[in-house]
Amino acid sequence: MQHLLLMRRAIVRKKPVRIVFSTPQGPSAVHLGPGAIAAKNLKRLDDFWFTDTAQSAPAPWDAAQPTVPVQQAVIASINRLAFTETQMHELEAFAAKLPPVHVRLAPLHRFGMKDFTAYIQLHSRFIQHGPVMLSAWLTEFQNGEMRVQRHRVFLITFVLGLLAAPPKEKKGEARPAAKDASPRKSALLQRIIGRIRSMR
Amino acid sequence: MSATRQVLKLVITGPVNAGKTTLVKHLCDAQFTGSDAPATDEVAKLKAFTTVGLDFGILKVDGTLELHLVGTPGQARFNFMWDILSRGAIGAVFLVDSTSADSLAEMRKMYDYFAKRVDLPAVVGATKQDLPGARAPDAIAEALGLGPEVPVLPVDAREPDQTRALVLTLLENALVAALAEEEEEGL
Repeated sequence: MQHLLLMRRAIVRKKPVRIVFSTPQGPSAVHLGPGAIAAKNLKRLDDFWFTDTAQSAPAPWDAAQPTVPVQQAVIASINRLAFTETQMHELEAFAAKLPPVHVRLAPLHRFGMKDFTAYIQLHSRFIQHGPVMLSAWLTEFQNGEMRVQRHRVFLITFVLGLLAAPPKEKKGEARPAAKDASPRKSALLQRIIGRIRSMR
Repeated sequence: MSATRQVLKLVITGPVNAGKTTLVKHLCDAQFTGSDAPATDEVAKLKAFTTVGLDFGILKVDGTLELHLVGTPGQARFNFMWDILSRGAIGAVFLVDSTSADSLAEMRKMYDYFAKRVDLPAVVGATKQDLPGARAPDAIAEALGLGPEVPVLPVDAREPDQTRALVLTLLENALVAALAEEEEEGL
């Protein structure tokens, strides 16, 4: 699942990159720019999600070429996915390696996300109960459409950078109080969020 | 030696009669200062008192961090205040009366100004969704021409749990974005 990390990184960084990946028919590639993907590469995305190998490299970006917003491209491609049992297990195994995650709410239905309701349910659970253990969320339904929907939601939100886990504090690292001179933005936000959650 | 005190700001904005003052009251735990005055002109048809300066409240986060909640007046003519309000701010909550075409029109002016000049995460709370004639959140998003990253959520400003959920959505969105950026910076 390293290729999903490559795609996520390319989307979050918003810098031009070409991702080359393997398909049963031979090598393929997609070209991403700031917030967009080259329109001519759209269909190629369908073969990306369960590729065996992928590599990325910076690549020049022609701002004049036809493009599609990256959210729209990713969602359109994943909307078309019909997972095999093996593919769902691969995603579940990948999710099991992630710590509980924070979920960002974006109006993805404006980009045609057909599983928006399942995404809203994930976000509501997060707002009500805090960081979500995705492996448990993915496997709540053993079969059926709900299970497939949740796997699509996971794939979309992960690669679009809408899921995040706070970095682990390493042993021996200075305590946050000692770093208060210039705390990270995320640390400040976490303190405020914790305070508001405690008001309930 | 005492730790340095830090202050961050959350801006609550939107047209008249959308619930801004109520939201500020729900979130602060100390020192709420309103600046209501008897309403005049068109505003008097909506409510007896309106905010003429800033609503201000403080949420004490812990011993060294405070969140200052600033509620703006509800007219687009005060847009110039964003230059000051956005300094040290972590986000903006817009509230709009879902039942009022005038509220939406005013909000559009306010949001257009914000989108062009202010780089802050934002969320829109659509209030009065329980009343007849309320526009759906998607219709509001379309009418306002919101950017692709600004969600619209139905909210009852009188319900503290709902207003906190709206603010949490904004702050968590900012947190996920910050974590992603820090991950990329290798922090």
